[in-house]
Amino acid sequence: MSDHEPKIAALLAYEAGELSPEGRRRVEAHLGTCEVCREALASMRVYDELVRDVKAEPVPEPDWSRMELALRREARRARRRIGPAVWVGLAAAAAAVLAFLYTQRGAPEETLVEAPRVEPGEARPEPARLRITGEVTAVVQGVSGGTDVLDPVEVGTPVREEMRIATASGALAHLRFYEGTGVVVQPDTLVKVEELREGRVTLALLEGAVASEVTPLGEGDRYAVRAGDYTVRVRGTRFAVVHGESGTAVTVDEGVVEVLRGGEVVATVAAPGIWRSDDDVEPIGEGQVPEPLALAPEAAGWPVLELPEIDWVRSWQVRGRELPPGAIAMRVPAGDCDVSALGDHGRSWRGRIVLAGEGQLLEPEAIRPSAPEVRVGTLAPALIAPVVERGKHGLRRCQRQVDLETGQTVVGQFTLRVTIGRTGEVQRAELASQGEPPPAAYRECVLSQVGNWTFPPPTGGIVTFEQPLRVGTVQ
Amino acid sequence: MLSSAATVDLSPGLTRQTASTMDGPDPLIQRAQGGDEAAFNELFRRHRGDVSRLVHRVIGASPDVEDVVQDVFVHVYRSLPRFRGESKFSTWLYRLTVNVARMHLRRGRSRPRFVDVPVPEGPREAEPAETPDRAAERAERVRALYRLLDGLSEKKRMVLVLHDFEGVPAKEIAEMVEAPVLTVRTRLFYARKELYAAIAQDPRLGPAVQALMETLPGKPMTTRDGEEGGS
Repeated sequence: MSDHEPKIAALLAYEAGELSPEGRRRVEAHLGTCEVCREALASMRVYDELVRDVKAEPVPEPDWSRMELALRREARRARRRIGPAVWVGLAAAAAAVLAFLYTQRGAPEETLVEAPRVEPGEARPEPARLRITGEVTAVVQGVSGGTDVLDPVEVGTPVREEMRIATASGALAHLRFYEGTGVVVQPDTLVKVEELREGRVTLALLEGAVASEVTPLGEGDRYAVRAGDYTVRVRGTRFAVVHGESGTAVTVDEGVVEVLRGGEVVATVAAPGIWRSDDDVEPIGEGQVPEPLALAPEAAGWPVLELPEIDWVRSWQVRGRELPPGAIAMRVPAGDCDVSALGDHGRSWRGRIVLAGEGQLLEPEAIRPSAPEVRVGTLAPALIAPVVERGKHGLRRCQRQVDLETGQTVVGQFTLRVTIGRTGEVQRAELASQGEPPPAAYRECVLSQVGNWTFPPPTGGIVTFEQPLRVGTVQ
Repeated sequence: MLSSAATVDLSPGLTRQTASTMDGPDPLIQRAQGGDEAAFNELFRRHRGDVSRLVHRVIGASPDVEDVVQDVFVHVYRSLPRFRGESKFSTWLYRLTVNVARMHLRRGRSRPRFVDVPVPEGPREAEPAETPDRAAERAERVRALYRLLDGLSEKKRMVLVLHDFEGVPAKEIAEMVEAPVLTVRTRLFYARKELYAAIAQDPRLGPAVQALMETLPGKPMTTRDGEEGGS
């Protein structure tokens, strides 16, 4: 093959029959002498055949009932967190503006989007505060954001008023609003940046958890997180707010925060301290409020380090900071950067990367673990059987639950394959079937049940066993 | 489900609502925006097939398709109140679907895995029967193609999938990906060009290219001493 570039445009026109007879002759003459173009034309025809294959490939029918169930759950959650969405048309002399407002349960105690507020007794309004733009400094796994349709969010994505950030399960986003002030958006969270102005930040936490780091505020400055009926207001601290169906919780690791409801202070929480609206709500533990990354003003110019998702990695360490597993992109200072990956059974990888310019993506191939210590051990069947027997009750409950929730009757013969770890914990569980696969909801439930089983510790390493399961009326 | 009268099969491509149901405010969408769950459920039933197929085409055969489709509809549920009717609902929905699928692909570079994927059995109605061997062979070729798609940039991949696999016109893709039509066409051109080169080099697909080269017009004449001459 030569360095000659294939004449793709001419070949496409040739294939589409768009050339004159003279043009066709010229192309065919060229094909006779040019191996590169012959190969390109053959590839085009193979590609066309592949496209036909793709279109002919049947699309498996998803389990719609499971999805409907999930959407019903989402609707229930939404009813609890947000009232009906309303469009408010504001006709002004100069322009008509449409604004979308979330109406929270109960009237919000503060005006959140409008800027200056006249305090009682004050003769003049505060000066208007300029809007500012923050930045996403690190993301782990799938994060989306935007003001309308949620687009993928990456390091460097600007953060502005009205932006919403949504994190999937296992995902995180670190945002810097301005020097020394930022937030970590925890997994399974939906948060809206309602106000982002000089000295003023208001977040509306619709669901999930956010951990904030706030530099000491000046006179009249404000940093607040609204969560349902509550507003958490601070003057310089590190704190986390969790909000969900069961209530709201606040953990303070540094400084003092005020929790307000209907404009009234209902609690003042000093570090180290936890406040919760209901006993059921699970707060972030004391001393565990994560610190947002890259809050320094010069961080916007730092290179981006990208780490891939690797099966065996259970956690990352970057410059001494522990991060969850998964694909990560984060701003780090230029220069040497120590990275470690830690897995199960002592597997680990350490490396030093020199970061410069735009940054660097660490390829999965570059990250090879030290010798794994997976050894096969032994555990007497007589010690396994009682645990399985006790667990069967839970498995039967799964069957009933799926029946009730989805109307699907689970019937079949399945094989439960369980790997017991060195301390007796269930390291891995699979539910296999020779015939019809089990309903997804049933599989999920069974694996979650089995994940909680605890066996006596095996001797010498991990142990895998198989347990046949016969469900329903099978002959 | 959409009634047959209300759909146009743009085969090969998306099944989309006709203008009569797409133009002007759709009462069903308005009801769903107002929090009417029955209306949302109906929207879900109408569009789930198209969304599922698009996700399947974007990420390939993967056990994750179902989760991605579910994510799409959760996003639809959350974002629907902000749908202002500035574009067709189907365009908005496919744009959202494409974004969620892109996030999935990006998430941990989680490329499609081709294990434990149930392959529907039997041919579709009114289609000639296909032997299991041929179906398996076709599935293998499609897998090979999707492996090559992983080598394209996200932007090129999306445009290629939407245009070539789904039959969406460039103008509509431009709305979905928020780029000028010319940019869409450029991305499509370079996506195909990269794919043609990758197909020729691929160990699974390359032999088909080599075999086809022998049958092309303008096939070089081979002289007895092995030298090639023009046709």
